[in-house]
Amino acid sequence: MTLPLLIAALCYVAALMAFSWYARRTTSRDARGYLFAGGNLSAFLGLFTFAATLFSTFTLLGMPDFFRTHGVGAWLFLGFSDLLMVFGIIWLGLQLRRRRPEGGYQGMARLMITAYRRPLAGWVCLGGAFLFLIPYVAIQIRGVAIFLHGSFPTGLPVWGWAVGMVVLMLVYSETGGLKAIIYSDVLQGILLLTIIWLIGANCLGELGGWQAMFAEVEKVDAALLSTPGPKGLFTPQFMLASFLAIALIPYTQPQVSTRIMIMRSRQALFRMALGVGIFAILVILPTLFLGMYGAVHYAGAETSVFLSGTLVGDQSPVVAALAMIGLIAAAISTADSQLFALGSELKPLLGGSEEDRLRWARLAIALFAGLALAFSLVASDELVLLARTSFAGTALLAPMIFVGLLGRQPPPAWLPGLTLAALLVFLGVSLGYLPGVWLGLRADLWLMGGLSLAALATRPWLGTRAPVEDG
Amino acid sequence: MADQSGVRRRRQWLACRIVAVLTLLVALSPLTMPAGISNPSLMGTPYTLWVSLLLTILLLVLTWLGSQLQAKRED
Repeated sequence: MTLPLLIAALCYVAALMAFSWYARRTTSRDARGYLFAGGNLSAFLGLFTFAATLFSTFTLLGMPDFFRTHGVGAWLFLGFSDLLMVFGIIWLGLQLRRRRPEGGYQGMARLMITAYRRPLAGWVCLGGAFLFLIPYVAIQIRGVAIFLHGSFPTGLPVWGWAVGMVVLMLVYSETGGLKAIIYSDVLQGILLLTIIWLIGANCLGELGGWQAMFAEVEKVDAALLSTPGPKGLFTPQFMLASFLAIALIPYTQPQVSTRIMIMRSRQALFRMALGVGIFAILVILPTLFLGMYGAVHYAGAETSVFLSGTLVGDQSPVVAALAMIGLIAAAISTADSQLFALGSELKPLLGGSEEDRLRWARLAIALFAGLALAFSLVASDELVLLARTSFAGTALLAPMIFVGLLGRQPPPAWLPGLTLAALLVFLGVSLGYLPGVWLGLRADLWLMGGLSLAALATRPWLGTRAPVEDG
Repeated sequence: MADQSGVRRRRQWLACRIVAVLTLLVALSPLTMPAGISNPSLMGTPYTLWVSLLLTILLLVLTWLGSQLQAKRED
C-alpha cells in the first residue's frame, strides 16, 4: 500500500499548494478578499465548501462507529437533523443575509456589536465559538492522527501526524486565504464522497446486499435495528437536543455563517442549500453500510481496530491509500475553515489600522491552530459525542444571535451576559463539574429553553424593520 | 394578478413550514421511534430506519419547494 499512498499523498499536497498559489494570484490582498473570498461565491463553490466544512472526520470515522455501536437510530441523529438544518437555511438564511452591512460582511461578532450596540455581545459570540470549536478542531486532528498511527505503528508518533496536518493546513490557508480553502474544499468534498462510496459499496457487497445486511445484523444484536439502541442512547430527549444543536449550526458557527453570507445571491444560496441536502444523504448513507459491516465483523472490537480494519485492512491497496488521504482531507477541510473563521471573527473586534488588524487576525489563526494542536494531544477519543457537545455549546448562542439579527429594535444588554453565563454553565457540565441531567431533563435543553424564553421576553418583534438585502 | 400570486406563494410557503414542523414532531414521537421495535420492515429495512429515511426525503422535497417559493418572493 505504501507506493499508492505515497503517490496519492503527493498529488493531494501538490493540489492544495496549487490552489493556494492560484487563490493568492487571483484574490485581492485586502481583508474582504483574504478573509471573505471577495464575498461573491457561486452555488457550485458554495455547495462544496459548505459540505466539506460540515462533513469531517466526524462523518467518516465517527458515524460508522456510531451506527455500529448504537444502531440505525444514528440516521435520525445526523441524516434527518442535517436536512432540518438545510430547510432552516431556506427559512432563515435570507433573514441572516438581510443584515449584511453595505460595506460587506465582517463576521457574526461584528454584527452582534452593531445590533446590541455593546462590545460584550461580539466578545460573547467569539468566546462561545472559541470555547466549543477549538476542542472540535482538536478531535478532528486527533481522530486522524490516531488512525494513521494505528495503520503505520512503526511510522510517526500520534503527535507527529498531528503536527504535520496542522502545518500543511496553515501553509495553504495562510498563503491563499479563504479562497484557497474554498478551492481545496471542492477537491476534498469530491474526494470524501468518492472514497466513502467506494468503501461503503465494498462493505454492502460483503454483507450480501441491502436486505441481507440487516438480516446479518439481527443475528448479532437485534437491538441495533431499533431505537433507543443497545446502549439506550437514542431517546427523544437526546434526539431533540441533537436536532437543535445541528440545525442551528449555520447561525452559531462562524465558518458556516460566513459561507451563507458570502453567497453571490439568494438563488445561489438556495441552490447551495438544496445541494448540501442531497450531499448529506449521499455521504451519510454509506456510513450506515460501514457501521452495519462493523456490527457483523467487528462486534465488540475497539473503535480503532474496527476503523483501521474496515477502512484499510479489508480494502484493496489503492482504496486503502485513498481512504487515508480522504481522512486527512476530511479533517483538514473542516479544521482549516473553523480556525480561519475564528481569526476572521476576531479582526473587527481589534483596534488599530486595517493592515494591523489583518496581520493580528492571521497571527491569531496560527495561535488558534497551536491551541487546537495542544488540545488534540490530550482529548478523548469519542469523536461523535465530543462533536455533539461542540454543536450543543455553540447552539446556546442562537437565541442571542436571532434576537440581534431579527429584532426590530436594539435588544437589551443583559441577553449577552445571560448567554455568557449559560455558556459557562454548559462548559461546567461538559467538563463533569456539574450534573448533565437536572430534574430528569438534559442540562443543554434546560439552558436552551431558558435562553429562548429570555429571548422571547425581549419582544424582538416590536419596533422598526431591519434593512433589506439585494436579492 | 401579481398580488394574488404573491398571496398564494406566501400561503404555500406557510404550508411548507407547517409540514416541516410536523415532520420534526413525528420524528421525535413513538411513531418513528417505538422503543425496541423493528417491525414492520420495508424490503428488509428496519422500521425506524425506513420511516427516518422517508422523513428525510420529505424534508428534502420541502427544501426544494421552499427554495422555489422563496426565490420568487418580493421583499
